[in-house]
Parts: sequence; C-alpha cells; structure tokens
Amino acid sequence: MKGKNNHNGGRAPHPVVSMKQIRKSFSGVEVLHGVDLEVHSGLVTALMGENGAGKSTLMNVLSGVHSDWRGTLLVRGEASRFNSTAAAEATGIAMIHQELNLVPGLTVAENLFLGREPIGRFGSIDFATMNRKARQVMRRLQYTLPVTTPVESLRMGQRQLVEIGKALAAEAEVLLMDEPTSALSEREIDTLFAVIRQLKEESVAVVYVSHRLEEIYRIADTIAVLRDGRLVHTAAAGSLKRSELVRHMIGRPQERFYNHDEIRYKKTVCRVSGFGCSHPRVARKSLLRDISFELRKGEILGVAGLLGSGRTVLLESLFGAAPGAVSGRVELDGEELNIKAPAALMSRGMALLTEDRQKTGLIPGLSVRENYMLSALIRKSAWVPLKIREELAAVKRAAGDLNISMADPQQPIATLSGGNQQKVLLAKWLAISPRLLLLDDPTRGIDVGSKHDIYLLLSRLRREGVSIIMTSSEISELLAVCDRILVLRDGCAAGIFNRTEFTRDAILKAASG
Amino acid sequence: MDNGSHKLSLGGRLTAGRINAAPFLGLLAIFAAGAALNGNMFLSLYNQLNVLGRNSIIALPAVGMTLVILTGGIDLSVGSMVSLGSVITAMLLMERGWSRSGFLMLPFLALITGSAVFGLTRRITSANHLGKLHLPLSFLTGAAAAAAAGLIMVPLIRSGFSVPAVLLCVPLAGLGLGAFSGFFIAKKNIQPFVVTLAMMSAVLGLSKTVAGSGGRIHPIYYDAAGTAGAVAPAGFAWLNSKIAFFGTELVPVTALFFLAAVIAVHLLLTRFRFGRYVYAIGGNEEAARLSGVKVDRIKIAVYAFSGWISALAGVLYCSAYAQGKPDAGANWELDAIAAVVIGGTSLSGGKGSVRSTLIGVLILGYLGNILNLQEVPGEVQDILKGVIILIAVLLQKGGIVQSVKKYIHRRKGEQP
Repeated sequence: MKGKNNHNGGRAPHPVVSMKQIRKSFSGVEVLHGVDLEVHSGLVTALMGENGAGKSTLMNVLSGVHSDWRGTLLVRGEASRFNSTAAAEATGIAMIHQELNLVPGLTVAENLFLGREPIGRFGSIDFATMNRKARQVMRRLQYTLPVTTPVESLRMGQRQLVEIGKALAAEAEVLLMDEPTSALSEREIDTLFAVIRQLKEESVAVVYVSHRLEEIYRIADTIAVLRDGRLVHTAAAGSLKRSELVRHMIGRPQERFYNHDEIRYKKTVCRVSGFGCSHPRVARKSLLRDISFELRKGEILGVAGLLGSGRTVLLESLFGAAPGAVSGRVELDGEELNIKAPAALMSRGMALLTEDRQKTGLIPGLSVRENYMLSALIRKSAWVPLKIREELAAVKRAAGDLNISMADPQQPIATLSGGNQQKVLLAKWLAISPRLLLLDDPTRGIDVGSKHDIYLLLSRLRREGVSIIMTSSEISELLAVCDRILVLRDGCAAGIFNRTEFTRDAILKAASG
Repeated sequence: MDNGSHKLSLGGRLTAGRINAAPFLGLLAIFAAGAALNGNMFLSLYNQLNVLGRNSIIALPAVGMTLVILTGGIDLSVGSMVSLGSVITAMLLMERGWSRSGFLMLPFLALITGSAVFGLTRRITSANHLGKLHLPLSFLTGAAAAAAAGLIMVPLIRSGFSVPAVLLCVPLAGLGLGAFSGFFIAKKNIQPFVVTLAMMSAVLGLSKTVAGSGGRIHPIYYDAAGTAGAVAPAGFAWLNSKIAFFGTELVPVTALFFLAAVIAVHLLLTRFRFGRYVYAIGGNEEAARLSGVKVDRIKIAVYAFSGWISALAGVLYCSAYAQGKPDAGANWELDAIAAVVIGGTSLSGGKGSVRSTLIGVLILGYLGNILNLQEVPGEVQDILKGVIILIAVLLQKGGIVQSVKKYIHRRKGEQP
C-alpha cells in the first residue's frame, strides 16, 4: 500500500481527501448544506456532532453509499464520485461500520479476503497464501490468535480488529470509523487506540466518528464539528476546550448533571436473592450466578461490568427474557415474582428498555405513535376499537414531556434521530407507569442533548419513587447518575459500591479482576 | 389540537411510504389497457362485477395470507384447505348417513368446540381466583361442550347438512388445521415454510382420503332426476348466484363474501389491538415480545384464520362448480401469495395492508379478464402472470426508477 501513495512524507501538504461544498438531500429535504472537510494522511480527524447532524450522511457520501450528492470530492487531487462502496474501496477509502459486517461462520482469514480470495491452480482458493497474507495483516494490528479461528468465537474487540484488517487487506489509505468503540471494553479500546496510532505512523488517514468526548481527546489530531448539516468548527484537538467543543456541538453551553440528593424513600421494593441464569447451550455453564441485592423505592442501582460480564443478561433475565433458564428468588413489593413472560411482569409494574435499539427495541415499519403505544396496549381490551385520537394526544404529551422532536406522530419511527428514537422507547415504557424500570445502557449511541434529557428524566423518576436498575458502557455515567453500583465479573457479583465509595478506579478494578 | 392534524395529505402519505403508489398505478394502467383493448365490453358494469365474482373465491385465501405474511410468515397449505373444504362440503350435503366426511367432522368439531370452551372457561375462572378448582372445572365444561357438539351433529350427518350448518362447520375444520400449523410455528419454532409445506401435503392427502376411491369427484345435484335420490338444499345454489338490482342479476354473492372479509380484516388491522400486534410481530418479533405482545397466540391466530377462510373458499368453490373434489384449490397458494406480493405487502413482514391485497387481486383479475376477452390461451396467460409478478416487485423496490437515477449520476460522475 505504500507504493501507491507517494506524496505524503509525514505531514502532507495536500489532503488525501478534500470535500468541498457537499450537499445531499433525502426526498427533497437537504440534510447537508455545503460541507467542507479535509482529511490528511497520517492524521486522525474526529468528526463530532449530535445525532442528525449529518455525520453518517457525510461518511456515506465519502464511502460510496450515496452517489447522488452535489459538490466536489477530491481524492488525491482527483475529482471522484463513488457509485458503490466497492468503488470507494478500490480508491483506498474503506468504512468500518458500527455494526460489523463479518460472516460469523468463516475464519478470520476468509473474512479478510472475502470476495478477493487468492486463487491457486485449478481455480480453487489458495488457502496457504490467503492465511499467510492474513497473518501479515493481522500482525500489524497486534492480533495474536490464529487467523484460522472462526470469527464467531472472537470477542467484540477482536472482531473490530478483523474489520480493520479487512480494510487494510484491501490496501485502504483512508479509514472511516463510525463509533468503533461502542461495543468495546476499556482494555479493548486501549488496544484499538494503539492500533490507530500505529496506522498513523504508516500514513493512513483516519476519520473517527464518536460521541465520546474522552476518546476524541485521546486519539484525535483535528476535530471537525457538524451541526444541522453544516460544518460549524474545525480546530486542532489540543487547542479546543471540552466545554467549547460541546457548545459547538449542541449550539448552547451544557449543564453538568449530577444526582446528589438523598433518596426520599425508605421502603425496599425489590429483593433479588441467589439469582442466576444458565447457558442456553452449554450445560453446567452459567451466564449469571448467585446475584443478590435489594433495591429501595426511588433508588437507582447501576450495573457495571465489561462486555459479556452479564450486565445485559441480568436485566433480560429479570424481565423474563433470559437466554437460558433462570434460578433464584425475586420479590417485588414482598411478593415473589414468577419470572416467565414479559407480559406478566409488565402487569406487576416492570419495564425493560433493551440495549440494542434497532434489534430489540424499535418496530421500524411502524409510526412513532404505534411504537409509543405498543406496551400500553396490553391494558386495552382486544374487542374495543383503539382510539387513535387519544393515542395521538398521548404521544404529543409525551413528546412535550421528554423533549422529543418530531414533525408528526404519524411519521415512521425510523426517520427520527437515534436520541429521539431512544426517548420514544423510554416514553413507551413510562406509559405503563412502571415501578421498577430496567434500563440497559439507555444513552448508548445518542447525542449529548438527548443524554442530558434522559438524565433529567431519570432524576425526576427517582424523585417520584420509581426504582431503576441501569447499566452503562460508560462508567462515568453510572458514577454521575446512580445511588449504588453493582459490579459484575464473569456473571458473578464482584462488589457493590455505595455513593461514598464510588471511584472510577475501584469499579474498573472490580470489573476486570 | 385540531382534529384533522394527524391526517397527512394523499401526496404526503404517498411520499411517506404509507400507501405504496406502484401497485395502485399498476391497477390504473391495467384498467386503462383493458378499456383501450376491449372498450365497452370491458367497462360494462356486468363485466366489472363478473371479474369481481369470478375472482372472489380464489381471493379469499389471499385475505388470510395477508395476515400471515404481515407477521413475517407464509402459508402454503391454503390450496389444500380449499380442497378439503370443497370435498367435505359436497359430502356433508349429498350423503345421508355416515360417510368418511361425517366420521372426520364429528370428532374434529367436537374437539374444536371442546377446546375452545375449555380455554374460555379457564381464562374466566382463573381470573376469578378459583384456585386449583379452575382446571378440573374447565375440563368439565370443555368435555360437556364437546359432547354437545357431537350430539348436535349426529342428526345433521344422518339427514344431510343444511347450508348454514355447512357454512359454520366446514370453515371450522380449516381453523383447527390452521391452528395446528400455528402451534408448531409459534411454540416449536419451526419455519412457517416447512410447517405449512408439510400441512399442504397432509391436508391434500386427507382430502383425497375423505373423498375416497383415490380422490373421486363428489357432484352436487339439486334435482333428484338421475341421482341416487339425495339432493342438496336449494339454498346452496344461492351462494353461486347474483343478487338482482332493478330487475337484473348483478352482484355476485361470492363478491360479498370477499368484500366482507376485506373490510373486516381491514378494520381488524387498523382499528384493533390484534392488528397492531400483527404488524409489530412482522416488524420486529423480539421487540414485540419484550413489549408484552403474546406473540405465540397472535401467530396461532393468523394461521387459524388463514385455514378458516381457505376452507370457507372451499365451500364457495363447491357451490360455484357444483362439485367437491380434491383437485379444488390446486396451486391456489401461489395465486394468494402473488396477489399479496403484487399488492405491495412485504414478504419479510410488518409492511402492507389488506387494501393492497385487494389491489393485487384486481390486477390479477383484470389481467385474466383482458386476456380472455382477447382470446389469449391459458398457458400464455400464465407466462404473462409471471412477468407481471416480477414487474410489480421490481417497481415496488423502486428498481426501475433507481437504476435510471443511478445511470444518470454515473454519467454525471464521469464528467464532474
């Protein structure tokens, strides 16, 4: 890949990619209003902005997903327009998606060369060459496992490396990374960043899209901020203060959120003892073992842990959606719960906001109104017609309450930004007035403004006496929001911390053992 | 808030994807083609109602299929249900005394009635906290209901069924068999394609077995001349008649069945909880389950309905062709799926409507009508039907429009 790109010794005078006055419309609505962006070899350019700011659209223009845009795109000084991602990759621009595009059943090497397999004599795949080349690529990424491992047996962080390896195997010079750390543990993030630094040394240009400010400052050289489809600010990472960055992103100064006041209530609402969940396929293995805790009325209990530690399994199991068989005892208001189906637990006042909005939260084909009403329908009679007008009024009320911005309650929910989708899903659960709310990473992949709205909502619910169990992939969020934090490690409780004992280090240490 | 604020304009609905424009335009196009080719003959009220009447029976399974496909499933057994429905109907009407259809229907209906009453009692009594008593109580009422249903049927089987009895009982057989498919799909997690494929074969076999002697035809006679003596009630012919308006026989009764089914299912889908759940399951089954939707029940219900309405189509078939035979409904599952798909309902579930299916049925109906008026042979019609299905799906994907756009952009991209 070095031979192809000759004019960038260290810091190139010319950008490898230069976008000028890029405009893009979706069915008549312009979402990018003339954006300029330059990407230099050997630098990490962070693209920041709230959801709906146009980051993904801009990346899709660059990676060939969209081809019907106006403006100029220069790649190494040449005007380009990609009709497909394959065309962009041929020019050396590769996108690494948030949801990884790997074939689980194939090996690492087979994934790296999918569609570009080296062919031996008689037209068969030359596995020896393929594996050798794959080893070379993966060695650059500090990946140590054999390349003949099937991808499905890799951890999330390793899969991410394979995805990057795929781009490198295609000799990419520009890597577009969309929220690459959203599924990674702290340690895996460290590895990823080491790899990115290494790639910088090799003159690869990286465009890094993320919501997480801490990461941006650790890895970015240049920060470009998009807001409402316009580039509002570009600066060297060192010269841009955090508060200033947030102000550029949301267009107003951010209020810091902390949950300081004491819990108002004394009553214990929920008692979990000896709770566990078996592995769905492997007998004798369990996903969750011997978890016990109590929860007071109006208390927020955080569940911390690395990916795969059982955070999600705990919440799903409590809501009757366990992957395996559950054991142990759960009491709600002194009565033992029969944990079987979500419907029954909903009638007892429980609700679960799932981790993966797209996979287990939204019904993409339905409108905002229909998504919002879905949980509350359980209380309606099957034999009486639904009152659409009442539903509309309820959605509008909820939208006002939670600061959901939408044009029309009848619009498909898929057309809302991630933050607004998440707020609709939260509102859907609030519509059944739960007493015990289970929130699985409620701010995952959403913008700063929406995060803040959700924090405010949590603190209001807490005052109103709703008990909450929440997980988060960001420990700082749990520290700010929760009254206590339960740390999980390999499906076991590794400690439970009160507010006075909260420190980032203590929790990280408990989580990673 | 003003009352009409939630109503989007037609243009808005078209662009928002709520109404799929392509099938509707396709219907207009084929209508225009019919008018251009055959003029007044095509446009006459008589011909229009005739198209509707002729296609109504085959369209009934498409209504059930719409529900099934909206949940993300498929039902390949509808043709076999029509077959079984037609055979049982003919035999129940024409036979006096115990025939194979009587032996099949008596325990079957007793079982269905019994389990329905059992389920109902259990729901009512368990809600009233009767403790452990509710299960034996439900068994008792269920058994009683089953016995009652059996006893009621005995004289009917001996003296031949009446028309209302046939309309009530035969579709129930389809309902039971459909629910059986639904049980395997929902509770045992087997793909709908596989389960209903098995059902398609088994029910067709059942139909042939009931018909006897390798699947013989059971004709319907309305007058005793030339028969063994038994005749069907005259009212059965009414199902195949046209209702007179202003002295002319105009509206086919079968069309009324079809339109009633379309309207009922439309209301069910748009106005009732059940419909919302159907869309939710097709859109994202796991999300629906986690929102408290009892996914299994809804799934069983849609397959049961599909079986019910297909067996009903079997009754109407028997009246229309004055015979019940195992060949009835052969390949109708394909026509039902074609109508649903041409209408624009997505095979992956969650998107579509029964209005779309109505449009799909009309497109296929007009196509056949026009080609018949043009005296195009049947085999060529089948080829054209295949072409229409492909074009319809292509249009809905925006395939043609998109490829033209892409081409233009590619040209632009070459000389920026």
